[in-house]
Amino acid sequence: MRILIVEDEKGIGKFLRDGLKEEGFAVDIALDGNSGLELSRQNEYDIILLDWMLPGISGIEVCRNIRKVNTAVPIIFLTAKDTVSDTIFGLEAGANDYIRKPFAFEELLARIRVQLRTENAETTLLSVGDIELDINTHIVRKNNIEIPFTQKEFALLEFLLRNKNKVCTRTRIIEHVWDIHFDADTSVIDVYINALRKKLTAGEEKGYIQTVRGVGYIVREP
Amino acid sequence: MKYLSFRNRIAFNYIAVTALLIAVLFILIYLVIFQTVYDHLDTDLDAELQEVYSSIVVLDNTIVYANPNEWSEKEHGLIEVNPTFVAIVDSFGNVMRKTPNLRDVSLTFSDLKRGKKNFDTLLSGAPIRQMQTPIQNPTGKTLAYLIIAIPLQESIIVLKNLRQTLLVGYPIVLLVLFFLSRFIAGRSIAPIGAVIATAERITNENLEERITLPQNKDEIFTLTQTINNLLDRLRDVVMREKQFTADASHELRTPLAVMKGTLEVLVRKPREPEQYVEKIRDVVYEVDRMSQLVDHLLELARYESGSITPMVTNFELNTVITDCLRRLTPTADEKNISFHFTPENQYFVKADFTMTAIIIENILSNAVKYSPEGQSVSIAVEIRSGAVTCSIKDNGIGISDEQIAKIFDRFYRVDESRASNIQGKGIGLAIVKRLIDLQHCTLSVLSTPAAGTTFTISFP
Repeated sequence: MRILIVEDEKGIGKFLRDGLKEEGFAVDIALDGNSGLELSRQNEYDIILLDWMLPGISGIEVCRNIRKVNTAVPIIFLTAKDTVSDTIFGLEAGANDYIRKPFAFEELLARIRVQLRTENAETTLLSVGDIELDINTHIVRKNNIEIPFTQKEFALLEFLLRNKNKVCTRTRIIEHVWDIHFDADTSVIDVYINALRKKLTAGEEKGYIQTVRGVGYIVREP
Repeated sequence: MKYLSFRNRIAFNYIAVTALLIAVLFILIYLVIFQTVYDHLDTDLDAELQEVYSSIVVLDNTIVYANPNEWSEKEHGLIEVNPTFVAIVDSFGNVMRKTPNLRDVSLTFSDLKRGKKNFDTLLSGAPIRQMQTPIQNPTGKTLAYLIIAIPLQESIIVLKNLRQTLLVGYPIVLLVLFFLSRFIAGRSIAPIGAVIATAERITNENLEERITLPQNKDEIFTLTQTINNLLDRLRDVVMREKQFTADASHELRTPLAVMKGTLEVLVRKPREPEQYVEKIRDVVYEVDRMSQLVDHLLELARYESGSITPMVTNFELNTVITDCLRRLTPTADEKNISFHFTPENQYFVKADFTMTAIIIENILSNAVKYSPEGQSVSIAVEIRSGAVTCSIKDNGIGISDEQIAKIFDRFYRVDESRASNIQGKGIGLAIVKRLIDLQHCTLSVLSTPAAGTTFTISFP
């Protein structure tokens, strides 16, 4: 899951990036409204966290501009403004949610997950065959036995499982799992896919992740 | 009068003056008519007298009636219609001759008055006006008196009617005028009612609403305009306070949010000792930043509450500047910024020593903050039009004209990007402004964007 944080306060940006990276998100940070808008146009984000008071153009303006071209991406306002009218104003500008500073990191995480819920929203479990992935606890189990995963491996598997039975192109994988500092020419994706395959199949014949030659990868029930 | 409404007061004042004027007018009218009526009567009497007088001839000591017919004219015979009574009496009041209509009564003789005299009296109970004139022989001896009388009844009735009409009309006219003027006053102050209604509706919540200006550019127009202007100024103050509260809460919550978030993320998992040290250092940095901000806000609040009064002493300005420069040199050295200050003469000012030091240090520290590396800041003290002035000139980023008006607002920063490496919360100049006002100094700012800024403090 790739996340854009538009926040001019470096301290906040820093802990958000650290915390969210640990949760397996690919995180980009923009320090002002204009560069935030720029990044949101260049890359496909799964969720955007937006500060209200930004140098240059305000968070409200950024939100409205994003909404002009992208109505789908969830936007959460992070702000110190706390009156009811501010909240309404923010939501009317096109935000999906609103969280007040100072906020609890766990609450923010929960709100992000709410926004990322897929159609089968009731469960936090994604699965294929005997593999089970818990988004909340970050645990992957095979036949109820926990398999250790790195953050990146987990993020990659989560993305593939969320798009089960759909072809994920290399570009989309890069966009959603890696942040802006990732160089798309490297063969890092292949390395991670190989690592995933090894951990998931554990020497068995059946493969969960199939290569679609020249396009990308797909996860199917075996 | 204090408890009367405005319209009633206008009506009352108006009616008081009008009552006086109308009373004078009515009295005048009555007097003029009274006079006219009596003049008319007297003219008639006079004419009759001449007529009768011409019909008698005085020979030595006897009166000869030359024209006896005159005595039997119609007007002398009747009582009812337009009668004229004539009598001639001797000096003792004995009737010598009288017209038939007098029958058995006689006209009043006034022996006290020797000359020609007009007066009112009664004839058998009816009011009459008499004229009495002596009949004299050529030597000047009074032989008898000729008395002529005409009835007054009609004139008295006319005057009485007039008096009654005026007396009854007076209060009626006044009453009508009172209600009329009350109505007109009410109508002419009706727009004030509208102004009151709108003004009452305007509260903190709808400070944008304004009273509609009337069409005529009259006093109400000016009043409305004045109230609207007052509302503009009020709104500005309220907006500034709201902005301040919003800014203050933002500035205070941000470091809190950073601390809370950093620590929360830190304790989510067990970490290496170095990571704990790093994050705790980050948090300590935030705590420092926040306590500095709180200090500044408290300082500002103290100055703004008016509880602090300047302790005015006479001190030498150059030493204050030198002290400030010494404190700021380490910061300036980091950016390789040099100060140019050559104290020549001594300049004594009457001001608060500490406040002056805070003002100069704040402006100097801003000059350092907003100057690019390697630039210089120059300070000059001189006497301009009798006042000691201190100018601080930098070659920094400068301030545009529209920004200059705002730089003394709390939390306003010329460089809005808090992400930039210029530290500060925009409180310094707000404090400077407050201290300048408290000491009755003046502060002027001259700036060219991208060329530099000069702050000039002028001491009283």
